[in-house]
Amino acid sequence: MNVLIAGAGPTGLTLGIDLARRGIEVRVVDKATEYFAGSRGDGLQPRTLEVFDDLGVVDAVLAEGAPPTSTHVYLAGKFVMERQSFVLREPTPDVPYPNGCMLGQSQTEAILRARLAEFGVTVELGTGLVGFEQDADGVTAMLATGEVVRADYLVGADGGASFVRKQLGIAFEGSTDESIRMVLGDVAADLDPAHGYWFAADPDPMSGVRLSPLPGTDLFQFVAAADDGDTSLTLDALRARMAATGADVRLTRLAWSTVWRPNVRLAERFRVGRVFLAGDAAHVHPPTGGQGLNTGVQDAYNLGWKLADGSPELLDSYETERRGVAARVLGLSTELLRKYVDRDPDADRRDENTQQLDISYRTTEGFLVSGDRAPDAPVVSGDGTRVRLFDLFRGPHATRLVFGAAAPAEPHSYAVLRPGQRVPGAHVVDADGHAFAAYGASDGDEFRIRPDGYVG
Amino acid sequence: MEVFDAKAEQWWQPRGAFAVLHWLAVARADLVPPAARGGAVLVDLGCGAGLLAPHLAGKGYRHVGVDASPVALAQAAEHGVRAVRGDVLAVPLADGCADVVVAGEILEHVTDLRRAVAEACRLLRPGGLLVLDTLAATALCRWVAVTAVDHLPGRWLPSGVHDPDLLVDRAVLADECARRGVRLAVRGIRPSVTDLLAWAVGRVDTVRMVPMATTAVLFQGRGRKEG
Repeated sequence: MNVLIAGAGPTGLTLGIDLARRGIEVRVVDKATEYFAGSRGDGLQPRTLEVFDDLGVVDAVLAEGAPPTSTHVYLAGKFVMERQSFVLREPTPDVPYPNGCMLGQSQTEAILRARLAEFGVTVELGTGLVGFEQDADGVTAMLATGEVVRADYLVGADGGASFVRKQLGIAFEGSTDESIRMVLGDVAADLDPAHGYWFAADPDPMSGVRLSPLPGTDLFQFVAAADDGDTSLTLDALRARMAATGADVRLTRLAWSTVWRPNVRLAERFRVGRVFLAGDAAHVHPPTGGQGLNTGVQDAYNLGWKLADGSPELLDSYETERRGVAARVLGLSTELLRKYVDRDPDADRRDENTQQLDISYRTTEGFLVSGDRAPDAPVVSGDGTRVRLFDLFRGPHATRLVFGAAAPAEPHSYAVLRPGQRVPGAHVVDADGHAFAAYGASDGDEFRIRPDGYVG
Repeated sequence: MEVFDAKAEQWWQPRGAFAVLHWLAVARADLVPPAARGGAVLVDLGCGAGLLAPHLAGKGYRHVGVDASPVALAQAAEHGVRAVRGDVLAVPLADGCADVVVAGEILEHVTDLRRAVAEACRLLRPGGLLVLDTLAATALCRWVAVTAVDHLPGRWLPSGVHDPDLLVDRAVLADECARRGVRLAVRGIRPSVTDLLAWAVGRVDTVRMVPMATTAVLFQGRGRKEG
């Protein structure tokens, strides 16, 4: 089997890794002639870190990134207070990565590309998709290089202006709010990168300039409402915006910038036959809440194992599950944007809603039912070493957990035992009781964990 | 309460009037994870005679029991519960004092469900866990708990203790929890039928509670407080 992925952003790269590690032949093509260089999606949510754990890149991401910082608020150049958007939490038995991680998108992409290369797959730049057709057995795609590719599936992870979506004629319904425009840029500034900053001119504390440190660089991400005339940005324009807040901050280098409009759109379908949409190609929304990149990563993670399996029910479930999540994310990020526009003093606050740990595909009620995220828990393996359930889940396979009773003799199938219980076959011991509690399990309960970490 | 006190000598008898409360205590304790920190506090609302205490052993909590009955509390204290006399509608404990709040088979006895839920949520610290079980305000549950109770195999529900007007509206419960920052998940439970039959004929001393598809009779709930 082989899969062609159009678009080498975080969504396409995540899907590429997930397919390549299953031994599926995969090509990742992008019309861009060089790798994306900006910070853009610079916040990785806790659920994304769990996905990255499974894909073998979380250590690199955590080493290069940094936890979210507090914000120092300056009005008319004077420090007035420190604000905390995030309450940093300690890991718990069921949530190993309780805090997000700040890392510029270009750096996240570089880490994902390096992982993909370990499977022998290199992103093909300057290789845009220029046309495709599908039939019952596959997709025939034409590339800008003149090459004709035959693939079992085509995935359009090619961004908000998706060529794949347009070719399929899929409606991209929603709206663009022309009244709001934001400038985003990566600048060097003579500020302590241990904090983020909010500079504003008294008496209008809510319209100002945000600077967030970009870990692993000497840059800050600059965010401000755009002036009417702004179509592109220069360092001088950003300096003028900064000076207008009354703050004496020296900006010395502009590495990347963009002007952005709140564009809230959802593709009517995520799939036509053998062609799928993922990431921004399927849904675009405001960056407030840091959901875009993260939602794309999870689209890919939801799709990868289903493409590998190929059963019609699983392929159908991709759109059902992910379109529902995208609709929720659109609502959430739009609501957060509205809070900024309305100058709500709580606009910076983030809670469980944005972490994506509580995303569920459930259709029934209960504590832990089909479609819920499978929680982590510390357990003791048969040879006495301490492991986590996530260690058992890691990899492209599904996992079966049978609580308090013997598990079937098959790979990745484990009995989860209370101390003192004995059964033949593969097992782990829930020495502290975290697994039984997190799964709400009684003896004999069985859970099948899908390859993407949800209860099957 | 008079009903409970009148049968107080039966609290700890495995085949007494409160047998089902023992089985439910086991199922409830199973939902309580081991304490995440030293000195963690579990507040047990409507703790009765402290039936939960043996099943929390080793989990690392200071078990604080709140009940209106001094007779029950005296027994709870004998089982290691720090007994606090009080009303679950006005608990004499500080905001955010609890890592876990347990409300086992109590919400169906209160006259103001929203206030009882608000109190439980108030006691929770951010990130704390609410664990509850109760009876649903449905026609089916009324029939089981109030009418059929004298005819059940082994008579596993005590008769005369449930006022049909006080059974718990699940929508109100979930809504009040959400207002207080706790996203509640619920699941129905029932006694294992094989265990129940074995218990009825005296072959076993306890009955396991198992999940069932409907929450329309007896159900458990759990949820974490935001923050």
